[in-house]
Amino acid sequence: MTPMNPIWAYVTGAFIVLMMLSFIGIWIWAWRRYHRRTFDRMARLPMEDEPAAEAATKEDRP
Amino acid sequence: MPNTEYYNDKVVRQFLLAAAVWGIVGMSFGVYAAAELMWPALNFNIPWLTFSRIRPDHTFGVIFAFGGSALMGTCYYVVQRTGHARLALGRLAEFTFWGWQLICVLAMVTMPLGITQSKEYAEPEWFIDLLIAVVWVSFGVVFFASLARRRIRHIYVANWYYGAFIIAVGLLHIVNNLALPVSMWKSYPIYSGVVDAMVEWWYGHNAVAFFLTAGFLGMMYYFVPRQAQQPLWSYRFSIVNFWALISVYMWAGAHHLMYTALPDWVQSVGMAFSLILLMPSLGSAANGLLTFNGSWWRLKTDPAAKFMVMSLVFYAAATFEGSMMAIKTVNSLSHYTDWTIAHVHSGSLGWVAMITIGSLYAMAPRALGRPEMHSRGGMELHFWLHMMGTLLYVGSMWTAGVTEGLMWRATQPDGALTYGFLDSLIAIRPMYLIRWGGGLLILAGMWVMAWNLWHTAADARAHLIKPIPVPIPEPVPHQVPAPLPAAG
Amino acid sequence: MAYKHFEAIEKHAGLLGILIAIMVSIGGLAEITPLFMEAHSLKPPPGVLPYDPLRLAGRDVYVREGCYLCHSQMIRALRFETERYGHYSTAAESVYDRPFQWGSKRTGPDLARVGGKYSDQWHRLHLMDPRQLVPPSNMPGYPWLAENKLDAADIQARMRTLRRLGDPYSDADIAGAPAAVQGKTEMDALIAYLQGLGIRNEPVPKSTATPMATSQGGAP
Repeated sequence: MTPMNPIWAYVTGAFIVLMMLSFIGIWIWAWRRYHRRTFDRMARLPMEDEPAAEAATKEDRP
Repeated sequence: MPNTEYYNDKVVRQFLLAAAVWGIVGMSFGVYAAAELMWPALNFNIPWLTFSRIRPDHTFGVIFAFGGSALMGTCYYVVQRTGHARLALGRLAEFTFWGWQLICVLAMVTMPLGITQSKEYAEPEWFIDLLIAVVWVSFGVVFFASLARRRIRHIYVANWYYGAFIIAVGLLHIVNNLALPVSMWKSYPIYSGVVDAMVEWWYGHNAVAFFLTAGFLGMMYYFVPRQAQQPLWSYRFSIVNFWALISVYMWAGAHHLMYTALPDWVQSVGMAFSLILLMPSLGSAANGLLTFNGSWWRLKTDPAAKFMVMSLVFYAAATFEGSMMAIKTVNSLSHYTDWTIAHVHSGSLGWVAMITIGSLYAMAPRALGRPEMHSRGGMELHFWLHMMGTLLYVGSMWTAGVTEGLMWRATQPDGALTYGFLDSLIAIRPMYLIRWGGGLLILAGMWVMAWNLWHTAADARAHLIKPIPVPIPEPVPHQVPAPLPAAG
Repeated sequence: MAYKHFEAIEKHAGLLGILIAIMVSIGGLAEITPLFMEAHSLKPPPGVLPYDPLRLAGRDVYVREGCYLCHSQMIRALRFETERYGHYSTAAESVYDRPFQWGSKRTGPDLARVGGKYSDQWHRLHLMDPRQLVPPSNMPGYPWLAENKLDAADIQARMRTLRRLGDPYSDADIAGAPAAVQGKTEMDALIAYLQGLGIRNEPVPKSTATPMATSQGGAP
C-alpha cells in the first residue's frame, strides 16, 4: 500500500476529539437533575403492559 | 367507549410464527453443515447439499430470517406498547411481513443453487438485495410513523436502539451491496480487492453491531424490565450507553482484517476502538442484569427471565471476548481458526438466541391472548437443552480453535514448522463431533419451543382472542394524531 | 442554552433518526474514505493482469461454490504464515478481485499462493473426490464441475461488465474469449484459476527483480 496522505490522520483525529466532546456532553446531560422525573417514569414504562395493569393507567395522566 | 384504539398484534403474531419456523430451518441447516464437516460424504455429491453452498443458508437463516423476523415482530410490539398508540400504516406493516418472508425464501433457495455474491453475510444476489432495500425502507417508515403518533411524549430508549438498528442496517446494506449485474443471476461488486474487503467487513462487523447487538438490545431494554417487573436499573445510563455504542462500534470493523494487506493505521484504529467498545457493551449488560436486582427470585419460577439473565451474561462474556480477540497478538492466534466460530456462537446462541427466546416467551402469551405459555415445563426443558447445547458448542470450538492456532504457529528449534495443516484437522476432529451434538440439543430445544407456541396459539387459531385496547389516558375527541403529554 | 436542543432529540423521532445516521456514518467514512481515495494510486505489480477468460470463469466457479468459506486467500505478515504458505499477501495483488476472496476461516489451508504447488491432474482428482488423495480430508467432492461446460457468451458478458467497472480488458481480449474457453469444463476453469494463484506476482526486492514475461496473463 502506498503511504497515505497525512491529512487523513488529522481528519480522523479531529473526528475522535469531536466524539469525545459529545460523549462528555451526553453524560452531563443525562445526569441533569431536571430529567429525574421523566427518566423515572420512562424506566417504569415497560411494566405497563401487564394484562392486569390495564386499569392502572391512571398514573399516565399528566 | 369513544375513541377506542387497539394494538395491532396481528403482524406481531405473524412475525412470531415466522421466527419460530425460521429458527428451526436455520438451525437445521447449521446442524447439517456441522455434520458435513465431520462426515464430508454427507453431501452425496449433490451441489446444493454441499457444505460450501448451505453454509450461507445457515447464517442467513438464523441471522436474517430468524433474528430478523423476531426483531421486526418485537419492534412492532414494543413501539406500540411504549408509545401507547396503535401501529401506524397497517397495510405497509403487513407488506413488510410478507416482503420479508419472500426475501427469506428467495435467498434460502437461490444461495444453495450457487446464486451468490459470496460476500459473507451478504450473499443474496442483487435482485434480492433490491427487495431487501425496499422492505427495509418500508419497515423504517412504519416504525418512524408509529413513533410519530405516540402518546408518550418521551421516546423510550428501546425505540432508540430499534431506530439505530433500522437506519444503520439500511445504510450498511445499500453501501455494501452496490454491484453491477451481468445477468439475473450474477453481478460484480463495484469495489475490488482491499477496498472491497474493507467495505465488506465494515458491513459484516456492523451487521453484528446493529443487527445482532443494537436490535436485540432494543428487545432487552423493553422485555427485561417487563419480565423482572422492576424499573430499568438506570435509564440515564442507558442513554449514555446508546450514543457510545452506536458511535464507537462503526470504527472497530478493521479488527476482522488484522495482519492483512489493509493499511496498518486502519488496523490500529480498529483495535483501539474495539477496546473502547468494552465500556458501552459491558454497561448495557450491567444495566440489564442490575434491573433484576430485587427480583432474582423470579428465576426460580420464570424460565423466560432465566433466558434473559443468561443472555446478558453471555452478552457480557462474548463482547469481552470480542474485544480481546481484536488485540493484535491474540488475533494472530485466533484468526482463521474455530475460535472465531466459538466467539460467534457464544454471541449468537448465548446472547441473541437467548434474549430472543426469552422475549418471545414473554411476548407470545400477551400477543396470543393467553395468561401464560402453554407449558412451563416445556420452557424449562428448552432452557436446559439450549444451555447445554451452547456450552458444548462453544466449549468444543474454543478447544478446537486454540488447538489449531497453537499447532499452526508451532515451530521447531531450527525454525521449521512442527505440524502440517492436516495434523491440526485430525487433532480437532473429536471437537467437531461434540459441536454437532451441541447443535442437535439446541435444535431439539427449538422444536420444544415450537410445540409450546403451537399450543399457546390455540385460541388465536380459533380466532377467539380479543384485541388489546391501547391505554389512552383521556378519551378526548379528535385527539388521535396529537400526542398527549404523558410524561416529561 | 444548548440544553433545550438536547431535549428535542428525545422527543422528535425524525431528529433522533438523523442524529443516529450521522453518528453511525462517521466511523465508516473516516476509515473507508481514505482507502477509497488512495485506491486510485494503487498500481498492480507488473505480474498482475486482469484474469484471462478461462481463469475468470474459474474464479467465478470458486465464488459460486463458496470456497472462501473454508479457504482464505490472505497470507498474513507473520513468520509462521509465510513459512507455511509463502510471501505475505499484498494489497496490490487483489486489485482485480471482485469480490475479494480473502476469507475468514481456514477449515482448509490458505490458497493465496497455491498455484503450481500441485499438478493439474492432482487438482482434478482432488476436486472429484478429495479423500482418494488425502484420506483425512473433510473437504466435499465437487464432481459436477467436470460435467458443466463453459458458456462463451456468458464469459464475454462478464468481461464487458468488468470493463465497465474499470478492469482493462481490450476488445481483442473479449473477442478472444470464446476460443479460450472452447470445450472447457468448469473443472478446467477452476484448475486454471487455482494454478494461477500467486504465480508471478510475489513482491520481489527491487534489486533482484527481473523483467517478467506476462504473455500468458498473470492472475493474483
